[in-house]
Amino acid sequence: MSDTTVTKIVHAQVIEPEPKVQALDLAIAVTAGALAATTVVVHGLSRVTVPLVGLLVRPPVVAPGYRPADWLERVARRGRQQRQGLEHDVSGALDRVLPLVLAEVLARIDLTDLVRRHVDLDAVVAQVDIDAIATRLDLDAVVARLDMDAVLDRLDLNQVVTERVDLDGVVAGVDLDAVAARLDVEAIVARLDLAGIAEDVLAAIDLPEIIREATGSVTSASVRGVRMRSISGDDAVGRVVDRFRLRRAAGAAQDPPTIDGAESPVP
Amino acid sequence: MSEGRISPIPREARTYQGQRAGVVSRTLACVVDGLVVLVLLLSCYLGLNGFVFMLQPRSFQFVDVSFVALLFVGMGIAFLYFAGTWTAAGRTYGCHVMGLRVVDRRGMKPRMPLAIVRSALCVAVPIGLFWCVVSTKRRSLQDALLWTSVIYDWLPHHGDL
Repeated sequence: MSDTTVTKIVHAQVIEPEPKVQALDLAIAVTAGALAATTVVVHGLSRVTVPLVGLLVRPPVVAPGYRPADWLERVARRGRQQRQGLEHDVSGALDRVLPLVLAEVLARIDLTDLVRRHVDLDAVVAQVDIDAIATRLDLDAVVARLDMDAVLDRLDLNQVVTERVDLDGVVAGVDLDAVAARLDVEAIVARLDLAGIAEDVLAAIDLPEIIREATGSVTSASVRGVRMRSISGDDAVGRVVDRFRLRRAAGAAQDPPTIDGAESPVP
Repeated sequence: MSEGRISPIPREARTYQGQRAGVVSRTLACVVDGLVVLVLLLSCYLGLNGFVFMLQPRSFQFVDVSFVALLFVGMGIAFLYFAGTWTAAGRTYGCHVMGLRVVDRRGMKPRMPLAIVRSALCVAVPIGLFWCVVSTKRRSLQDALLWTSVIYDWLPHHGDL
């Protein structure tokens, strides 16, 4: 047994139509054959009938307007008008009916799931020119609708600047000399109450008293030198005496005693 | 001196202000005071001779004064000088030059009775100054007896420290 025969047998066993379907197939086949035969007959007759029909509808001896063709044309015109009216009526009916039907249909199916299952969205998106869409976008209008205050409130600008901005580099790139040159120092000084500041400073430091004390007590450099040398002499004598006395530690000898043995100055 | 003010005292001397002075500073102050007393004594002697000259201009001769008399007059001048300056300013001219000040047990300027007694003791027993060498608190004999002290104070007015 050949492979072709086996294939046919298997095919016959696997695809065995039901009797109703077989009847339908037979009807279709008969109809198709009848149509084909009719087409052949009509095509053959048309060679003879077309010139004859033309002669009948447009007889040469009949004046124009009274020929059958003219009458047929008027009838066809009325038929065309009736057809156009019918199309208009059908279109209106469809306009009224289709939305209702479509709404009922869409209410009974999950269109999203239907699209997801039957539409290759990746392929669709791949064919979309995103750049062209972005080009057509009015970004200014989009940005104008943004609530920038809300966006800025959500941002920690201090952290952003601290982590992402090289402040040293920014400052290094600033020409501080040029900035200082543009400053109107005279205007700044003019806004200061220099007289008031000077009065406050003089009141705080009591300058006249300082001058009086400086000229009255700490006189000349030579007197200061004599005083400091005498203080050093006092310390030296104290250290020598302490060494002989052996009653004080060496560190205590560095600091001269105060009144009542306290280290603080006289009250 | 109140806090927050600019001190006219040199930085190296500020830590010593208010502390008791030693024998070297006090001796130098006494030397200056001795010169002052000598000048005052000489002035008194010249004044006495001038007075005598005005009384007996023709037979004028310098007054012959014995050493003992000069010594006692000098001690009297020193007594008045010490008592007056300590009462008035708490320091003699020698103490002023050396930046020293005499204070009582409370750290205040000595009152007149205390100044008089201390002056008398200083004139009577001047060597008592050197007791501050062996005193652990740098007190002279007069200081030990009267509870006074001599401190470093470079400022002119008492209580500025």
